[in-house]
Amino acid sequence: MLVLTRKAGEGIYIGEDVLIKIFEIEGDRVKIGIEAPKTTKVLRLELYEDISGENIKATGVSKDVIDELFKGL
Amino acid sequence: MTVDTNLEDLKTDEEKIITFINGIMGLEQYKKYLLLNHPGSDTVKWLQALNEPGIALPVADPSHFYPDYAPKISREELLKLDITSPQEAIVLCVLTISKEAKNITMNLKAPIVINPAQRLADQFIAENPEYDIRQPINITKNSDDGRCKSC
Repeated sequence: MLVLTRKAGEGIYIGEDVLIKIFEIEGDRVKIGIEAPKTTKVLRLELYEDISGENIKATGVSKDVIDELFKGL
Repeated sequence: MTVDTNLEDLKTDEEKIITFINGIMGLEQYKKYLLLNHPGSDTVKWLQALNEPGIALPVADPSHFYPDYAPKISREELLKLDITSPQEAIVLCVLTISKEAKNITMNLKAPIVINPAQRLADQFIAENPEYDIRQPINITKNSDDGRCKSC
């Protein structure tokens, strides 16, 4: 992973159309601005990880369990 | 923009493949799925990854459990699936079941949206702050079709 040190007011270009700007640094919080095409998915990492985890967990559900729980539904 | 859930419009033809433009989150390596019925259930379906027997997710029409479910998804997101009118879209939510407690939850936060005509799909994030990744569903309550239990 590329690691860069940036100060408030500085930024990073990723490719030609994604711009990340550091707006404000206060204690352990960083305010970031992201400029990206509307087709680019921008997600908080913890939300992505949470949803990914649920999806992967769902692949472990057996057909028998569904049978039992949704009988007649 | 809100999306209606109209599962009836999607014919679950086993021969027809649904392509996820970005894959399902956490399972991005699989892009092609079949939507299969669960035998004996009108509610549950399976998103079965093509040629990957071990990768199948139980899904259901969220409006069956939450009739007012209306995920806010931007027009730009829907356009990625060539959906110009929300009425065209089919919305399904992933079910998760904890083995021990038999707790069933539904991911209302990240609905799977399908364009049935073009068979394109993606998993989006609903902007609605009230929707949870693990929203409990009550199947006993909703299984009551109004008929007498002893009938």
